[in-house]
Amino acid sequence: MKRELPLFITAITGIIIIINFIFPELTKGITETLRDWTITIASFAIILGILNLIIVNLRKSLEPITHLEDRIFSLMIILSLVITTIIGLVYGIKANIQNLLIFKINDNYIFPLIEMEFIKKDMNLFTGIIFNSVYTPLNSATFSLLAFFIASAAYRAFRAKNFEALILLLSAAIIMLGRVPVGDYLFSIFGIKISLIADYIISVLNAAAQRAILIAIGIGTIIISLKLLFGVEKSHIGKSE
Amino acid sequence: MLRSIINLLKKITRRTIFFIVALVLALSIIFSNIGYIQKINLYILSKSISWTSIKAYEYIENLPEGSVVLLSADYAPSTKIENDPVVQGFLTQAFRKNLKVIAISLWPDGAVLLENNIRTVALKMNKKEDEDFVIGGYVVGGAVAVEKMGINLKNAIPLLKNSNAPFLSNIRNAKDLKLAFCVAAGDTLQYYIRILGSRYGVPVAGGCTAVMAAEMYPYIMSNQLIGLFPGLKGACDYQLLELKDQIDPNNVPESVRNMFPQSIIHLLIVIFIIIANLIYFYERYEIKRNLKR
Repeated sequence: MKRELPLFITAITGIIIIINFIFPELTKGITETLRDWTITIASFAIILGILNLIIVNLRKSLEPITHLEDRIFSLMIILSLVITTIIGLVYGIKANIQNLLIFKINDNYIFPLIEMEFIKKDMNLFTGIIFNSVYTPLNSATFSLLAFFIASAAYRAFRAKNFEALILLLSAAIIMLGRVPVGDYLFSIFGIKISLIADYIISVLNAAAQRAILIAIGIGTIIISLKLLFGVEKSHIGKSE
Repeated sequence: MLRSIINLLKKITRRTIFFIVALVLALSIIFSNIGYIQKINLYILSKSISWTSIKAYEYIENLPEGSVVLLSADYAPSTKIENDPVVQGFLTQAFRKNLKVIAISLWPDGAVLLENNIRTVALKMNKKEDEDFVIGGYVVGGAVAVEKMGINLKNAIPLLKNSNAPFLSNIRNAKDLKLAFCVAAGDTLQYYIRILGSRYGVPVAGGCTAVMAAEMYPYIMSNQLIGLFPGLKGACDYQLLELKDQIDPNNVPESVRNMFPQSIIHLLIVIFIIIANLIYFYERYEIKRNLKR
């Protein structure tokens, strides 16, 4: 019963959703309720995530075997979570436009000069300090590390070891140069507009391959869904016995 | 001579690559402010606007005045540089065309970024909340929320229930929208295409990050996606299409200026690939030569 009931619920829910796709008016009310339930259950996942984050990091920060730096980092995570939550709850996250003194780089000089200027900018305590001054730069900095890793990976992995690798390498180089102005600028010497070649690769060759992948994913999804509906696939209710 | 150069290149470690990338990036960011570079960038970019960008822009341009459109800004600060100019470009075009905008985000971070953008553009263009636009904030549920929009828009976007915007009185569900414009850094653009576009017949256009662009082309070719502003290039396209002759060549939009560091880093990666292959082929040549001996 422990396994049969979830499988039965899965099958019934899936069948209702499929019927709704074919006859929307027939099951309108019940599918609307099911969708609301999905959103509610998904919202509870946030609570679960927060609890998990607190427990894991508290344990790490209290364990004497953990390195001192790791213990400090774990405490910082908990502290950031608590501060952000309190400020968000007390002050809200609504934008509030105020005057702010900022530094601006002057564009009219060969070497940029830094000037000060008043501009209107969002300065709510949450959005102004936590979101704009802490979260945004940290988030952007983490993402920008990709440039370094891609450059390093391209240097070490992109070798024309066979014909397929050569094609991959050439198309990657054409796309990289074709999507930026410097590509057209450099290749204009040879009378070639590399952005047009890049456009052809991405919108004809790539689209054909992507379409094949999408169709394959679609067929795979149908198979998995049918297996779930008929109770063949049981991974969503835990480990199979 | 060649051998000594190759031996020198072989000594390039990960640290050296990181240092070169950091140095080149820093210099290119500084030099992107030089007027001559800005002018060249602007000239080349204005001559190579993507057909996907033109298609989306023209579709929005031909929408009748007063049409209600949905803007979904689903991205985080990490892709702000690529996505923000597309949102700003769309808002500028929509407000100029007197379109009524319902602005939402399926990502919590996106809601704050969207609100900053919409208030800044509205302030510049003298547009009022609840008259020309409404802010629906963060909409919970992802694909399920998009599905709900097809049945009842106000149930899917709870903040709309508090709005007194007159243009909302005729809007019951997504079918009443003239366009869904999604700027995404994740799967959400595909939700709009697959659910609102294919199932409810709502025209869908949008913008996305450069890494996502390749996945979107099959949808454009099948007209499920009207047009696309992909990556920073798409952002530049939108700014150039919308601002046209208003751009001062000595003070180009930020997205156009940011194209210079991106150009240089792309070029650097291609140079790294060439160097790596030179070393590889030289080593292979040496092995073959030694075997012959």
